[in-house]
Amino acid sequence: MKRIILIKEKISRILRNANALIGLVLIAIVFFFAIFADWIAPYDPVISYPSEALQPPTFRHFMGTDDLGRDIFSRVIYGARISLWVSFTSTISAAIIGTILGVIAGYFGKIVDITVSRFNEILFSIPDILLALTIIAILGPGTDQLIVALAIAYTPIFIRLTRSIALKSRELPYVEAAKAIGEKEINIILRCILPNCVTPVLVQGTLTFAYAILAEAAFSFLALGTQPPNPSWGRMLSDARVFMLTAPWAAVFPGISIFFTSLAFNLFGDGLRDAFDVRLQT
Amino acid sequence: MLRHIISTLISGCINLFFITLIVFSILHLLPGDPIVIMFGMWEQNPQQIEFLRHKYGFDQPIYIQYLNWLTQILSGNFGESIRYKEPVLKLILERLPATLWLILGSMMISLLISIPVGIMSASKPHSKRDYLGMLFALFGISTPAFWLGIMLILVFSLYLRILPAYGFVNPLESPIEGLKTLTLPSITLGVVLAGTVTRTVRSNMIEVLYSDYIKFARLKGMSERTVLYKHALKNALIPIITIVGIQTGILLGGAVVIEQIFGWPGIGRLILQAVYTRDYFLVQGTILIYAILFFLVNLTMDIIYAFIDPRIRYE
Repeated sequence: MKRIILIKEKISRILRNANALIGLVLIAIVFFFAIFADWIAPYDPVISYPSEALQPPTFRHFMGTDDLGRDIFSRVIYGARISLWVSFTSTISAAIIGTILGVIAGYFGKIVDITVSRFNEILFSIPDILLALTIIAILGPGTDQLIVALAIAYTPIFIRLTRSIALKSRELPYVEAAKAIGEKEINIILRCILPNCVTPVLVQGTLTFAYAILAEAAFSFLALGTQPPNPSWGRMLSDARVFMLTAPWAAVFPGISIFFTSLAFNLFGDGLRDAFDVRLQT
Repeated sequence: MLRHIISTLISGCINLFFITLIVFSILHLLPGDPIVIMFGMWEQNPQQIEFLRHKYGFDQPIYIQYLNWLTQILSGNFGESIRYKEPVLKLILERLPATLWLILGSMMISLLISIPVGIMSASKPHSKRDYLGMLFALFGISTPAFWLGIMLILVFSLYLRILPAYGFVNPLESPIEGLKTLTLPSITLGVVLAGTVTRTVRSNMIEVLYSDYIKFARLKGMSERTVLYKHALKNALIPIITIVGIQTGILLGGAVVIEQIFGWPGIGRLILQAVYTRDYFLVQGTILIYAILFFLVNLTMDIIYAFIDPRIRYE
């Protein structure tokens, strides 16, 4: 009962924050399009209609068509699926792996902490796009490979965040009390340390999600992410460059989609951070 | 202070050592025989492949391979590119100036935007101008750099035809042409970066403005202008040095995409071409150089920081 009231209180705090609310609405819209793409999209995103090529925005194609006559609106909608899928899976994996490693390092300290922290510092000393690029170079281009690459590139930030929380939580009176009555370590971690990580990880996760949206688009743009003919926003942009002067709409709309999705997660993340008063290291 | 610098140096060198391990293992983590993967598109003959395997030492135990490779690296030999048939280090050094100019240009643009906007926001938190400044920062953070680049090319190169969309001219050789080619890529990367930096400038500035000595300056009856520019700014700018260090990492990563869009002959584009053509010796070399570059910038910033910040200087 007490827990439900606590969650209710948290939700109402989010809803009272304007940034978080706007972000949440935008996120809901993007998810709505992505989930119901099959019903919303007026055309098939992959099949080409050469006779309809490079049509400007009209009532029939309200974002216009590309060089193969494919409806850009339909491709943008299906593109949301790939963008959200890659960002979601990579962020979640990074958050889970990062939290486990961070909490273990922070709680146990000593050699475990030194090993994890050193490893983390090494990963931090390679810029994250470059780290992801290195992994793509090994695994080859593709959607799944990109998920793995981004997950690894984003893990260090979660390790650093949760490690510092675990370090502080370890000293709290109720943790020491739990230790004194001989509670098992695993229970202390799960019940005393981990709950303190939830909110900061949630905030960091939302902001990382926004980065991941941009990164997915960038890698697809470089032909290292989602492969054609599957629609991805980044790839659509890079294809549209060739006929940019005659059909600028083909480059404008995918870009706006990337921008708004990333904006939505940034707004929501900022709102969450302010609502819960979480301090993140940058 | 010396102790601070030495400990940074040692820790950085340990990291670099591990990075060489990671970079070395790229070849050995490939799914399959690295020689076949690398030379597959050039050499079909099994005997030839066997010869190459021997030539590059792939028939030796892995630790010997690593030690040989490391010795070569330390003596400045980064191997030879398969595609270009030239030493990797030479290829990198040829492209280094273009990347450094791009980083310098975008850093200038980002600081020119973010310092005034950040101060404007911080001088009156939660006011209209603060929201305006933060809205700009939010837009900067959410904008895909490559899209902004394409839009700038569309407007300034294709429609207005006032700035080139492609290529690089060294500003030291031809200042006007050089600055022209530098403008669009620097703005693209600089504006996007300015988003993050503006936020940091604002939060540093606010922290300083609420400190005791600023309160004291106000109590003395100093004008808000003197407080803001004479006392607060000086201290708020110190962390900017750290920001510059962190931003270099983002810039080095961002350069990969921006160089590709603007046909910029830099290291970022070299890495991409190496990845596209599976030229793994070149991939190893460029990534290692990138990491070293990042390390050197951060080390320099650390040293400057130690000189400027009295708390470290008198440690």
